[in-house]
Amino acid sequence: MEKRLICLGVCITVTAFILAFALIYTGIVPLAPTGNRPLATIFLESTFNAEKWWIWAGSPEVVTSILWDYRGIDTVYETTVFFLAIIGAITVVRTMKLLPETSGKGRGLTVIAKTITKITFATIPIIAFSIAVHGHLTPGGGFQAGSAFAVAPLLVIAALSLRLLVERGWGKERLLALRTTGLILIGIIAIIVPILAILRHSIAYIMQNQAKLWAPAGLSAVVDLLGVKSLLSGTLFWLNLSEFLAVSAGLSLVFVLLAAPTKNFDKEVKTQ
Amino acid sequence: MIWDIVGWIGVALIVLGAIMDLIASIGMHRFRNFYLRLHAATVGMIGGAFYPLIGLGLLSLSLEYLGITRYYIAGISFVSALFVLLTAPVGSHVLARAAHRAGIKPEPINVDRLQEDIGKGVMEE
Amino acid sequence: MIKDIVWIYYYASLILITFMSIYGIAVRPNLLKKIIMLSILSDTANMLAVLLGYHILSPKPPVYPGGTFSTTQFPSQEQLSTFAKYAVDPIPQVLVVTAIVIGLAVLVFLSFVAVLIYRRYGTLDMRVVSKKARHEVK
Repeated sequence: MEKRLICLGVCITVTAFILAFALIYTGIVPLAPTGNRPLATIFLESTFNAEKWWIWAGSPEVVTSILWDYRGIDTVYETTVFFLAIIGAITVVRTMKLLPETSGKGRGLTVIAKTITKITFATIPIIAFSIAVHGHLTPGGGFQAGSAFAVAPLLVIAALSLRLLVERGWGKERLLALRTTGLILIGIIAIIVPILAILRHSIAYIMQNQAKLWAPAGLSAVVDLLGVKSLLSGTLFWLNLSEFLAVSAGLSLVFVLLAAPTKNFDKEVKTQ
Repeated sequence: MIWDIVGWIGVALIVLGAIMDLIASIGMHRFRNFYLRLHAATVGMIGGAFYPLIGLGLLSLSLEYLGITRYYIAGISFVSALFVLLTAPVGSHVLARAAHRAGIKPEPINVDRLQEDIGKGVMEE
Repeated sequence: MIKDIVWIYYYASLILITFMSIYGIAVRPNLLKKIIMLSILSDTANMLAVLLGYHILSPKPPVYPGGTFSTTQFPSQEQLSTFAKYAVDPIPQVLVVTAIVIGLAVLVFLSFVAVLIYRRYGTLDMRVVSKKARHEVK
């Protein structure tokens, strides 16, 4: 048995190296590339180029501007796919009622773990909100911020208890409502520029951010915010905030549902 | 001059972190039971995450071409290092307690205070 | 020469991890381990996509000219072309962000299906589960 496994490992390793050689020397993948492809150069040069205002996105962060501006509709559908996965998860546990009385004893771990969890729990939402707000300036964005935020309820479930979380109002219905609110906000921001364009008797596309040559409507990139000229990059800032709301509520919902005790509905599944 | 020295200290801390990670992974592989492996994991957490983060902060402080960005990088590194320092011991504490409650006894054992406390009724279960 | 060896090592290690995760999906009977291996496989594919857009040209990391929260100054054309020369390809990274979200959706759904299977059959061993399911049909 041992000899067979070692033989298999050696064979797989040798095959991997041969495949890597083949991939490189047939030119399918680049070996130590010495420059960017033309498309990448176009994106890198034009996202924050105020002189090419007809193709710019108004954001110095190239990944966010491709994600929410140039390929915006794709990202909206991707968020919808995640929403559908959460809906499927809720369907699996649809007969379960999440009440404080039925969500565990609520004892938690030791005092050491509880104290450190409280300190960490206070900082996680701040960091997540910071990532979401700076999503159009630095690497990060709505999804990353939401994933960071969802660590907070996970920590509370692990160290304190699920019961505390449910007592404080992190129930199933409220989180689902927040998730839906985030998705609706994304939809509204997607059609806000066309609505503005209709009011001004011009044309615009869905998910349009900055003004184009043939569609001269758009939100301005630099906004006067309480007397300070701030770079909000048009719709990108608001899209990041809505995605942050949607993803943080959705992932928290997933964690709460996965942690819920199942005594009250185990029988039901078995008799189905 | 002084910043050069700070930068080299940072590089040394990063290299030290890599060595610590190597030692921790060897330990994870070779130690006999859960508690000994937990010891190796803690070496990996403190030595392999705390030291490189401090080193990264010092290194970024010494790179002047980064402009004002280097203070952001250094601040984030130091705060992350502080949180790793806070959470790593708690993680190993919780893991050890869970293993003890699950019935895994430390094998080369002289004294088991946790078991004594449970027997006296100081701690539940 | 050293550079060639390093790049072959990158690709070979990614292909090796792909093989290992496919082995895990196919051979391991535990559903939880299958799901873990599936997530490792998707992460390896994302890593390969990021590696395709990667290159080292400048000795120091490129910093985007301009771009703080209260900026109103836009970068000049020379700064932008220098940045475009030294920065890595952003398009694979965008695709990877999308792929990570989709992978997370798949992971969430698969974990709930695993929970359901465990509640119904009391085990995650797929051999036992398939035997029990066949028995139920009969």
